[in-house]
Amino acid sequence: MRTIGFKLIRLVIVVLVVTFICFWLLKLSPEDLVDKIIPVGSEAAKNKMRSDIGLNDGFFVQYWHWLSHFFTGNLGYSYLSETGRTPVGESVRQSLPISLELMLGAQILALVVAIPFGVVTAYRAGSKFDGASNSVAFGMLALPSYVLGFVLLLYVGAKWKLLPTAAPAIDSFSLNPLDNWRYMLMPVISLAVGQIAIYMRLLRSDMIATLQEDFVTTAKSKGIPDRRVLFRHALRPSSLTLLTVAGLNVGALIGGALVIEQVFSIPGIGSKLAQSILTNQLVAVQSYVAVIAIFYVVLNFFVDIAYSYLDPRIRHARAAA
Amino acid sequence: MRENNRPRRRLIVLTAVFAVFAVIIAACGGGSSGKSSNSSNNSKPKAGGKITYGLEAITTSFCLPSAQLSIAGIIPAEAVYDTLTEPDASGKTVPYLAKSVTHNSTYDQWTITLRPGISFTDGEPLNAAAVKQNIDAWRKGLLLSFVFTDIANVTTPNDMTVVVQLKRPWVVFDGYLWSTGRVGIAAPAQLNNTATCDRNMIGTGPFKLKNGPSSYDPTTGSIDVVKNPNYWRKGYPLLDEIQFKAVEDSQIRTTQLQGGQLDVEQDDTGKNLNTIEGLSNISVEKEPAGYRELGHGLINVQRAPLSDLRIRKAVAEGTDRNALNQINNAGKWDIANGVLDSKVLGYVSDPGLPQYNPSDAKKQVASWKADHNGATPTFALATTTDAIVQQLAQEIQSEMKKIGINVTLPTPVLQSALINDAIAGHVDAFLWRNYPGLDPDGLYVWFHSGSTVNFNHLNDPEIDHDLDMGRITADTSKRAGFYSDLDKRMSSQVYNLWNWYETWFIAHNNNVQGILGPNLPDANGAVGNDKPADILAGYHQLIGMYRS
Repeated sequence: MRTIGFKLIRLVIVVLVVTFICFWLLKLSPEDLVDKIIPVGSEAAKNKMRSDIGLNDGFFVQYWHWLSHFFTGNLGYSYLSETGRTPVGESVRQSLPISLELMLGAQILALVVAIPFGVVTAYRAGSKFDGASNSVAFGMLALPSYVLGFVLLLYVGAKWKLLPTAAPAIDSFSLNPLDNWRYMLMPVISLAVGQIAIYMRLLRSDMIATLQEDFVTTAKSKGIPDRRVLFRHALRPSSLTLLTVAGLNVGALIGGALVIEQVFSIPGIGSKLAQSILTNQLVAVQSYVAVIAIFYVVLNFFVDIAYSYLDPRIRHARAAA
Repeated sequence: MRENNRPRRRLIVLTAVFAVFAVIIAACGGGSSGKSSNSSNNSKPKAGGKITYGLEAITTSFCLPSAQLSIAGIIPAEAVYDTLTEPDASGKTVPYLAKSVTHNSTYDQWTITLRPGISFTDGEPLNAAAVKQNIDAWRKGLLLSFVFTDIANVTTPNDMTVVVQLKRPWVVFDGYLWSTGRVGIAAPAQLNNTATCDRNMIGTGPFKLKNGPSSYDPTTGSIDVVKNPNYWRKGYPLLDEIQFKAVEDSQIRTTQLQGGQLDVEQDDTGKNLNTIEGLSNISVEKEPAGYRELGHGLINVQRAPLSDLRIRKAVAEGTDRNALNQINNAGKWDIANGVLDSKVLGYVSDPGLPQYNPSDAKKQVASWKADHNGATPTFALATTTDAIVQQLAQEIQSEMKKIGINVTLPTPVLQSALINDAIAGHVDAFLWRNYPGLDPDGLYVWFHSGSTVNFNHLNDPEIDHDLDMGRITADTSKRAGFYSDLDKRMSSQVYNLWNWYETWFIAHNNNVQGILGPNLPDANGAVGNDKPADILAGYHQLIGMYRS
């Protein structure tokens, strides 16, 4: 528990640093923030925005206001017109679950495919199957997700019409689960392919090392079936690197999702972030980036905790310390 | 160990492969993607059904007095709002929501009489007070205030009549009551609440927001509208629902149309038309000559070095417009030399735009450099995110480099941001299309000094004179003379680099018909004898669309 307490304190510090950097980045812009966001707005609209953001306050006061608003769910506004402003928090609430579905789907698909292939290729290291699998994995690594996305879009979606090329305009995610998955499958595959190759290669090399360990030899000598040895005895100690990389790879998934959401017109947080960048909505960009960064940091916090449960050696070492 | 367990290994591999394909098969088994087979173009119109309409850009506000509507915003606005007038197939302006629009002998007083018995979708009646409130709001709007600056006052002598007194004659004022669909009549309830005006779309139009303001997402441009059951044009609209969806990349829009996720889409790229014409399940309606916009490089003439005529001439002489037309349009669109389409009043076949001549372009650049201590002329070419636009920009950058001009390509932005930056004067030049045909008085707001939407930031007394005289002169042949002069002045001064006549088209699945709509209403509101305009800068009627 003490370890988790320390990790939590570290998490809070990291979150504060991350939010501070997100806030500070906005201040680096040499242009007047208000003119950049609403270049043709009336003075009244511009003054309203200055008041919203508290631009007349000092730097740290502004940061404190922004931070306190941020953690109470007020993420600022997109000033998309002279008279109207759209709450970023509302956009995040609508778009984050969509992006999570996409990233979670890609992560699950990548692991479901990569784990059996990683185990089998390690088990048959040096065989033709292993060689072929490695070659395919390198090909998948070299294929950018957006290229695969466009290929799937053009052939599977537009020409063969097996899957829809885009989600419906409104209420895309109030569909029934099967329809929902029809819309998400091509984006998920596009995003997962690169991850499959990485995870498979990592697991293969760790498994090869584990299969040389004494406890594996002992298990085999006891007559335990190969499948049980591989999946019950060898896989768990071999999966620490995979877990670490899976956690770190969320960053790559977020980056990939940003592009894939554009290709497939998915109204996720990546699309919203891209639209905010392309319409100079810098306050919204600040909040979206902060949300994504915090999500990333928190996720890796849980990955860190999961180590202890996956590997008793770490748990015992921490207890002894 | 390896030899004894081959069946298990196979099982593991097969399990993994099965896991992948099971997901794919399960997903593919959800039914077709909505695509339909070919259907007859002569099918009988029928009511019902829903379509998804692909728009080329996001619109961030529908508070019409202050909104910045490109065609991507005009089409959904047309679904919710009616305009007082409309153009017919001959290009003449005819009453639409108004029963009649008449003028006095000197064209400085216009009387608008409304049709009786029409209500907004919130139940409020359409009356003179509501129309006056709209016109007064336009006069105060950020972008429309200049458009209607010639209005002196608006009065309502009775509940169904609005009188607009002008400061000077305006012979085609009735055309501005349409303004390419930008000035629909909004309900007072929408205009009165400035906090919700941008999203709470309420009009008298054929459709209304499905679930109120939440049916419009200004961050994605999606709008969901359903049939207005009390629409004043009896029997219309035919569709029950339209979902508008903004897809800014034209090639992705085409792919979604092909895949069946869009039923209708708007486009102006000849390259995409080439693709679409090869698809058996898609039909296309194209706009005719006389209505076309100009595809062009828009120049802010107040910003150096493009403020110098030598550099503007060099840009024109250094640009291979045929190469650009090939990239953007597969060479399908006609090259343009002036601001007026071939059938527009005042058209001149050769208004004096400098033609492709790289060697002379280099001389112009050398002359400019001699006056600027040998500095290299540099300007930024702003673009939207569309992939084809990016190719165009790179080609222009390459061509300019050959004549000694440095072109930088800033980070692409969405159309709405580009318009904002252009109005604010923050851009040197950008790739654009505008200036649809019909009456050339429509050019007034784009080129007259002092106009908010004078993206070029022109301040040319000759241009102002031609625009002013064209506006107040009733004699058609004299008006033609003013607009010919304007055309020549624009081209010889290279205020814009004209590329081609942008031919808008509406591409639609064969099972969606009625794109041009029924004949316009007569004085009693019944279907009359006047045919509606063809596709006009992407504009077309929505009420007659149906699923066959």
